[in-house]
Amino acid sequence: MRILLAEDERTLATWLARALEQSGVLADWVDNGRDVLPSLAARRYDALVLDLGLPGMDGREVLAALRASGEALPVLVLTARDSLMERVGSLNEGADDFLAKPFDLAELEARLQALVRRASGAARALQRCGPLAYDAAAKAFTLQDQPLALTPREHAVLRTLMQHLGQPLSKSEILDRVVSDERDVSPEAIEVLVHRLRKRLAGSGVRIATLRGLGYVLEPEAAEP
Amino acid sequence: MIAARPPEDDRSAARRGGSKPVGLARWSRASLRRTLVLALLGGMLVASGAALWSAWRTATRAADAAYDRSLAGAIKAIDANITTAGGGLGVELPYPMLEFFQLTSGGAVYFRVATEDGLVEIGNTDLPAPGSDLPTGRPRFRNASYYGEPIRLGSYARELKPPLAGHEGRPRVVVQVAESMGPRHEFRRALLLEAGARNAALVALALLLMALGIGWALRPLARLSAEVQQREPNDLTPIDETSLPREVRPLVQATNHHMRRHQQASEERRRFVDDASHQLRTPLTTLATQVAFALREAPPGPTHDALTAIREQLDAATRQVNQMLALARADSMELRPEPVDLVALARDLTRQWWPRAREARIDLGFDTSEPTLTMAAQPGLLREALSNLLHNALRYTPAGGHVTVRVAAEAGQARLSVEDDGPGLPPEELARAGERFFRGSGAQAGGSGLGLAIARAVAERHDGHLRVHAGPRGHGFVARLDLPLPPATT
Repeated sequence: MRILLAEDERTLATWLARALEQSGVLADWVDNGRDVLPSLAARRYDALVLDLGLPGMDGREVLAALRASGEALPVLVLTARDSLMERVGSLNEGADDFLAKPFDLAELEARLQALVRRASGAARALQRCGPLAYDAAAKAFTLQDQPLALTPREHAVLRTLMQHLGQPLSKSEILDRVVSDERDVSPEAIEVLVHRLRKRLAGSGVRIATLRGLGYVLEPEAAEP
Repeated sequence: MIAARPPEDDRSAARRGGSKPVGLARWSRASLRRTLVLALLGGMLVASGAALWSAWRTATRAADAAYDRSLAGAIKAIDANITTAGGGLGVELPYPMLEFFQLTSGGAVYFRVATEDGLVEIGNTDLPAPGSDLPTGRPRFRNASYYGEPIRLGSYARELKPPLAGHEGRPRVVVQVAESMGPRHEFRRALLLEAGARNAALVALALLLMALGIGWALRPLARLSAEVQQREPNDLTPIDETSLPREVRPLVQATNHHMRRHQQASEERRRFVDDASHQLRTPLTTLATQVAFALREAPPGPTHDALTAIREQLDAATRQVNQMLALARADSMELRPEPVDLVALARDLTRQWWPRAREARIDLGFDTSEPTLTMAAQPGLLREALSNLLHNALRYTPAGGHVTVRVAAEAGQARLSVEDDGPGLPPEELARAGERFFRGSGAQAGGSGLGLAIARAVAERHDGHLRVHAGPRGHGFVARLDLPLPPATT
């Protein structure tokens, strides 16, 4: 993987490039906002790591120019200023992800990997949660390697939970993702569907947990203390 | 109007000033209206005293002139009835006239007719003597006393023609008429009373006009204070002074100047915090990257151990810096409140923290009976405050414990609380929780001692409070942000 690092702090940039290289990420470095677009045009990069406080042309202008040119390159924004962080966070000015300094190197690498993977469209074909697996290509669940028969509604609810592992979803949030246009489905219908899914998953090593006031989450039973 | 401030405020203002105002200064501080009315009242009383004194003198003169004229009439009438026929002095008293005179005078009337040498005397012979310098043919009047009674005495002398027999030389005849002073005093008092009543009415009218005038003149001030009170807390635009009386403008100009300076100062502070965050975080980032690099290169052994220790210390320093910057930001950030649904905000945040709670095997829940609860606030700051409360709760709650985030609307307040069933704080430390850098005796290493202080600063920036207390049945710890709701939503 090759990335462009736009960062005006020379020492930080040098060491960041060296540290990334340890994980097989090659970083080219520019320290001026005006150099970013020419560098991107000169060579093919997998991602751009952009500090917002660049001299010459500040990070937000660079980002705006990049998006205006129709470039879909994944961009990870860095900043040490709360004032800038807030604006980027609330306005989402074309950044794919952002990290506040100081950040953990492993975190930066993980985010970069995720961005690049998402951009290349290589979503994991098989998602797993304990003994439960979802094959995105076949759009089918397997439980303990046996096909799991589900009604379309149950399938939609379970798939939604599978896509948000580790992240609680409320009834209405599940509803929004399961039902596209029908308005006559109440959030209580989700309760019924979850109840049926629990019966199907009972004793299998994976379960749907209810979280107080927050909603549902799918998790392997081993996670329970 | 201007007296809108309750008197307690004046007293406390005086206390703050450190010096006790005395005398006039205290009066003028209390109320412009009172000062002006008192000054006017004093002046008017002196002026009306002088006017009364002068009226008294005028009345005395007028009464004497009028009453002396009728006294002179009586003298003339008696004089016309003096006969010297037969060589002796005789008076045929004009009794009807005297009676009439007595009636109109309304008091006692006395008379005496005598030769100047006192050989012949008729009437009230012991009336005071006229004195030797009495001119001939012209009546003279003076105040005197007759058996202790104050009287007005008219005396008149003329040559006798023919002279009386048995007298040496040509003695003059003296006619004296006196009346008691009672009637003229009565007259004078009536005049004086009238003048007094007129003066009193004038003073009262002047005071009334003054009071009304002051009220009217102070109306721009009342408008001004209403205008200033209605301002948003962070509105530091200059106050419009064009519609104000000239006397008040310097005050408003000074206030505007002060606000401008305040605005500049807080702007500088904001910029400093922002710059400081950049200046502090950049080297920390570099250091963290270098340590991470070195850790990957170093083989297991003492160097690796040292690097691990450095990283732990660095993480602690980073958290401390972040907390201090968050606190500085909570203090200095320019508030730009926007409508925030507290229920959605708290629920989202709880959800974000849920994976961490799960990892620590803590049951994190969310509880509210409100579908939505909207108020004007700075969402970033509220999230910062709530995050700190959640961080604290998860930090101190042992595995298997419970942490609950609650949103409630009570007593005109939005209440965002984080409740845990951890060890809590001993009562003597509860009171100090929320102080900057205060760390409880049970605090774990690595904490900044600023989490509650940040939450408190955020609450106070929103005109609210941070309350901390023990949980239900005295167990655990509850930290609650109380934020005032606009009146319409309660």
